[in-house]
Amino acid sequence: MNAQSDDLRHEAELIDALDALERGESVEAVLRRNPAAAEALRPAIETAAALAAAARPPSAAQVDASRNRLLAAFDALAAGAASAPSSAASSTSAASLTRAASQSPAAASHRPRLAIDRDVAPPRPMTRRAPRPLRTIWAMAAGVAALLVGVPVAYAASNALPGDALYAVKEAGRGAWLATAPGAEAHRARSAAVSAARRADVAVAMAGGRNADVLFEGVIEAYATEWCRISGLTVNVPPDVAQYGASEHPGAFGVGDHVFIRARMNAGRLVAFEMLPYLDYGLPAPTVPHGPADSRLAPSPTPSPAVPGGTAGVPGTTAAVPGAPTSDPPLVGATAPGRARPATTADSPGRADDSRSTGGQDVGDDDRGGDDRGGEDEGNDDKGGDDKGGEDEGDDKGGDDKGGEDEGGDDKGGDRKP
Amino acid sequence: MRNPTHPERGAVPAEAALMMRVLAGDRPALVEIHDRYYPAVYRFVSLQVADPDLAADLTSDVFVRFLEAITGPNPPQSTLKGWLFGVAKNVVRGHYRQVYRHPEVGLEEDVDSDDAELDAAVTRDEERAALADAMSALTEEQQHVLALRYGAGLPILEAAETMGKTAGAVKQLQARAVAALARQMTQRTASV
Repeated sequence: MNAQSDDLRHEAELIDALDALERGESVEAVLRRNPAAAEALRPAIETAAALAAAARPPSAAQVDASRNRLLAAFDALAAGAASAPSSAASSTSAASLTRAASQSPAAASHRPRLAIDRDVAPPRPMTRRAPRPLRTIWAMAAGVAALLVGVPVAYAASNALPGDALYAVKEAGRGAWLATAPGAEAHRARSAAVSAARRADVAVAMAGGRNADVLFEGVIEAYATEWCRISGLTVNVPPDVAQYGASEHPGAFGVGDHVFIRARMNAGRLVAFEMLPYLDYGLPAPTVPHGPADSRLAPSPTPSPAVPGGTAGVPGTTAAVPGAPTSDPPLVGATAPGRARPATTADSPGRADDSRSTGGQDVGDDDRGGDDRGGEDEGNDDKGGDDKGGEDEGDDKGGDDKGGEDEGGDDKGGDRKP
Repeated sequence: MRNPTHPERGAVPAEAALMMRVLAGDRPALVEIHDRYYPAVYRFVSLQVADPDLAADLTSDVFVRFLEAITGPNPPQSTLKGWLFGVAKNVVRGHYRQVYRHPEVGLEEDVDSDDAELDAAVTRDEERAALADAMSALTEEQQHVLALRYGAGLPILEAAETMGKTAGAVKQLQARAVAALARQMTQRTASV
């Protein structure tokens, strides 16, 4: 019992000492604060000081190299998906990224390297490469195969709608088209065209009675209790997803707000499950003209701007067809209690954040820390052990001990489950 | 998503909007995410991996994985920062798993130099390597908290949010991790 209380006291002293060290006190100053425990604390405090000194910032070259690699992977993803030989966009993505990654120095990072390599030459891929003539033949064959398979797939994808397997290919093509915009102005124009094309796809799919998840962006033109019209599309937005009307709900969405929507199409209706402010990082609000602001739910057609590349210029644009329920409650329009704000590029990030911050926002932060989609998380994050009041937090699970090197004093109480 | 009943949760949608912009093919958004988080993730990794080149490669892997995940069928649902550190933890773990399976062929580097600056740099690198080596003997959670606090330099509250723990729990975990690391260092010094 005494040993346990001694351990707890020692731990409390160590926590205090670490706090002092973090505040900028020197090791000696920290130890002088508690002379009785100084000798016991010294190894841990010196270790903490060494840890703090060990972390180093990356060099500019490292940041640049990583950024370039990421952008190469992004471009490969867009280009690979645009001429995808597969109907599954996710496998296309993975293949493109893997290919891009294998062309980068980091591909060698998971392989054993000679210790001296780092001082002699930059890390390089260690895969065995075919002789150049053979590589050329392979490259040509791959190019022909991509043409033979990719072109028909791309053509088929141009007519795909949300819910189709090829719709991801169509979206990737749009992404590539956006990514290759020559300049900010062209990017803005293309972005607006892509936004309109997405909404047109949603409208067509809804008219066809499809069930699928969709992602699009637009401007709130009008709203009712649980409904709003977003650039011509009528969307059911449950109150746990979003609320409207600045006068009723400070910080809530209002007419004129530019938003991203994730929604589920079901039986001719769009039900939102996520609604986010579209912060303006230089992208314009959609160019769709607002429909009648205070009408009942009679969505206006979603026109697609004329841009080269598809029926409306966007890769894989489909015709705009109105599609929305006709029996929904009346909407509040531009004259509603909400903030009437024109949907223009004047919507700055600061404005969007500031005007809404009072409402608080929550995007999936329930899965804090460790949400690993890479499939490697072994579930050892202890999320249930957050006992308040300084009790044991269950942080040291027995299974985490490695090879018995964690000696007994290490996990004091940590192995005990509440 | 907007939920006025939780006003304490605020800044996440900006991250979510950034991610959605990346999904929409917006390169500048991807660059913004990379440049905003690369330094912290690098420091996080470099505390556990002594070789700076390798740390840079592994950090770069984290962002490529992010791109893979965000364009995959199940994009990250947690906060972006938490997700990135979670993946960084797994990338480092994957690296060591690989190293244990295929041990590196070490070559003795006989550094013979009178250059005091070089000697000091070598000593610092050796200290870093010793710390990283000793850290690998701690539990996953202990390594994670040390990398978040001393590597990425996250304040206690941010580390708590990233780990899904209370601030008090993180302080306690950190103290135990530091004590365990000190014992590891003492043991290793004694054995040498």
